[in-house]
Amino acid sequence: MTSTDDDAVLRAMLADAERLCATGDALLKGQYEHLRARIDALIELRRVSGAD
Amino acid sequence: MIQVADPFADSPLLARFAGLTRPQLEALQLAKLQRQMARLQATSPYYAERMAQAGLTADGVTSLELFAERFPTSSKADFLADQQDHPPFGARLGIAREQVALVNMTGGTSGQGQEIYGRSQRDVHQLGYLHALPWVMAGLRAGDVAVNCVPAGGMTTGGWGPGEGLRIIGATGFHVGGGLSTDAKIDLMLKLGGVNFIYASTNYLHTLTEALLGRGITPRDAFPDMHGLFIAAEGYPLEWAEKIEEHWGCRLQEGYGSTQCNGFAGSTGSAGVFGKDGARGLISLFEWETLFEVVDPETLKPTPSGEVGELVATNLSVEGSPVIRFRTGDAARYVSWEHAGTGKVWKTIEAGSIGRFDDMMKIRGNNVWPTAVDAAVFAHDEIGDYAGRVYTDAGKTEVEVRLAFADHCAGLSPDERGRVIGAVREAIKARTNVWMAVVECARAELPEFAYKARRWKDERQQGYRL
Repeated sequence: MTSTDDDAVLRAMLADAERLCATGDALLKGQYEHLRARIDALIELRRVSGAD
Repeated sequence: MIQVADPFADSPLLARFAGLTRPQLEALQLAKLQRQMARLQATSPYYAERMAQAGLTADGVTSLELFAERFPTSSKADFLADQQDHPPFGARLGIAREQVALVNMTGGTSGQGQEIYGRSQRDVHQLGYLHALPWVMAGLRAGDVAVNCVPAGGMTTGGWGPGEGLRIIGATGFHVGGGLSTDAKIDLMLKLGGVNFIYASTNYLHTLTEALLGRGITPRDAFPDMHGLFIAAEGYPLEWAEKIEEHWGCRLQEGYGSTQCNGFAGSTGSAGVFGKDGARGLISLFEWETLFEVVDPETLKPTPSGEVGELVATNLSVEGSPVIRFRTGDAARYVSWEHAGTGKVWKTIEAGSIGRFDDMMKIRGNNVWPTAVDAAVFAHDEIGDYAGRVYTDAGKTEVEVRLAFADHCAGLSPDERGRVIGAVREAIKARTNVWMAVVECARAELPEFAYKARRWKDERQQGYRL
């Protein structure tokens, strides 16, 4: 998998995680937000260009 | 009294677990157990050998009954021997050492040695979930401010689980255990401008409450937003629970958990520690995560509902260092789901009375559990804490209970103190059948425990020196 593929996978995962975060389930909501934040952090730490 | 949010209304997932029929729950348990057996047969020489000893294969575990009849139990001593032979994790680990993301050890309070557990990344999430689950059931929600009084970090499960749990709930956690004195904790809590939830050992919630009252602070006035006090690790008398709820103006809740269960394995949930008619409440077990048997410790036969037995635990989801039919040594009054009246099919154990079989002391022919003395002593609001000592004097077994009055009772007259001490002595006799010498001491002479209290010393062996 190329670096560009990784970025695409993570962006797709972030979009999916954001959909999960819309849940109204009190037991799951925080866990989904935790998942979303970890994906978001991976996207951010891979950012090497101001144009990204 | 502040009401607790209904967890089953707020979590459709939890409502689904609550809505299972008993056959559905057991089918889920069996499916998870079979997956666990297949995995361990391939990855854990320790458990593979036990299966072979029993003439079992993973495919052969066709029912929960067969599993309970045939699969050998393990004990702390078995795990310590396994660690000795295959350091550091033992042959039971079940994952590659490189996959161990968190190392936990048991506390070592038994004096036998510390079990070591290697957890995978997946287990670490599960560890958080098994703290989040009882706390969501107890009304904790995203955005709440929670104070964790259990010492954080280090090598224990209790050091890591609460942080993970609060994080994945989305609550704001202040991990004040261990690092701050009780007074400093109180000062911080007063500055926070709203605290919703406290997690502490039974003993430490007592210490915290006593310190607040000693400073002339009424908890329910100082913390009007508090909606949950969640305790674990130690028993207590109902009189104490009643006073705690009165002082704080909110529900007291309890969980049962351990390192072996990778967190909590049951909780009173929103119902709290009181059952019907003010009797002891029930801890509902999360049976889809941990399979529990309650057995007679001598015969290993199932304990009837209503009786005290030993909890035997099997992890259904844990990957790293799972326990399979592990004899916990924990003594609990079992109440079957049919008798529990909770509206769910989850097995239950009585809240507030969980003890340890190995804590039992044989005193003058009587089986005495520290929890029984705790219950007798802490039923008296005037008492701050105590320490017990069993020793031999001229060949006779003697028992001394040194107790200190709570700070808020500093003004009691000598007569009043004498009356309380007499009442405590009578209460201890009523609960243990043993007359003990009860004497007063200064509060500063007694140790303060940040987590599990160890109030008893058995010095009888020393009495036999020549």
